[in-house]
Amino acid sequence: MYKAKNYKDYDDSTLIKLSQKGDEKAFEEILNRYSNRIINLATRIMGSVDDGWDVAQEVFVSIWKNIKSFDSSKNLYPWIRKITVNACYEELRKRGKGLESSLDDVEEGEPSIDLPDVKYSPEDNYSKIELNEVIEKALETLPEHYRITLWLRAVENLTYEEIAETLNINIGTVKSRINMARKLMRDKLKYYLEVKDESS
Amino acid sequence: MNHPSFEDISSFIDKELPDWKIKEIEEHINMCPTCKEILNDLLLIEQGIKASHIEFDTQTFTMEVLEKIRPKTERRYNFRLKLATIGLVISLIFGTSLGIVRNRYRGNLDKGKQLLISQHNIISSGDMGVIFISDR
Ligand SMILES: [Zn+2]
Repeated sequence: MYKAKNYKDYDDSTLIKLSQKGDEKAFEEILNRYSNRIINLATRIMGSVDDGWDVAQEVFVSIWKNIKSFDSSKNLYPWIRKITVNACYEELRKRGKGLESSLDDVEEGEPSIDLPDVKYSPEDNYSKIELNEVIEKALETLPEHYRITLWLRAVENLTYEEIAETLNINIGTVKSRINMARKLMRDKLKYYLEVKDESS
Repeated sequence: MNHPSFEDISSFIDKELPDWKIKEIEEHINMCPTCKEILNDLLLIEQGIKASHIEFDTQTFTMEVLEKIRPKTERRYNFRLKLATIGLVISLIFGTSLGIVRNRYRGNLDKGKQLLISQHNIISSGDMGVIFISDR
């Protein structure tokens, strides 16, 4: 009997089942669907595109190796995302940075860490694209536990509960990290946001 | 209502508050320029973060991952296959160009020989390209 083999038409659950049987094409479709998001996520946590790319590759290789243990009735992407976060933290731990601060509960108030200023010379009129560049730069200067929490909220669109589950922290910590991250971002970007308000 | 706290405005953006509180803050923000400014700043930051999403070369990424997950024997086989193909292509190109040069050389030689024969009554020894010129 003729069987359509367009992997794009398959849902995640079917792709997992096929991958579990060793179907490489099915796994390739999983890569097509999620690799960009995962490289982005890993890049944000690791703080560099090269490191993000490498960790994301290792993540997919380990997913292929462990695909049989995955319950195909569950959602695939949150699983991949969680593996990615863990892999990044593991890599950062190996390099001896980041993890202690990421596991600490964040106190409300001023951060104890000195944050570098954004090195941009603002002009009187600047476009939204330029503002976005400054925002990205500011995001990079945030401590990684603030950066990742804010990223999961803004880009991955996760609820506080989902972030808590992904990062293995409680909801209160998620909330305080997001508040603190936004406070820091606003302080760093104060000048640019004021100019923006005046020019708009 | 007093100004809502920064934390409340932050949670308001994320809709992580009870409905009644969201409504209360919304009504306040509509009337209060100070809180509206905070909200606008946070929304701009949110947009900027969303925009910092990068489009990667996922085709290359996928190829590299697939290469890594393939069993080593298959990879070795693929490597050998690649080597053999490259070798075949090189020898084809080399062989063809050698043939062209040889044919051209031969063609020129034949033309030259005919010219000499017609002019000087020459006997050719043939293929080897060795020619004998007889005395007139
Ligand atoms: Zn107010």
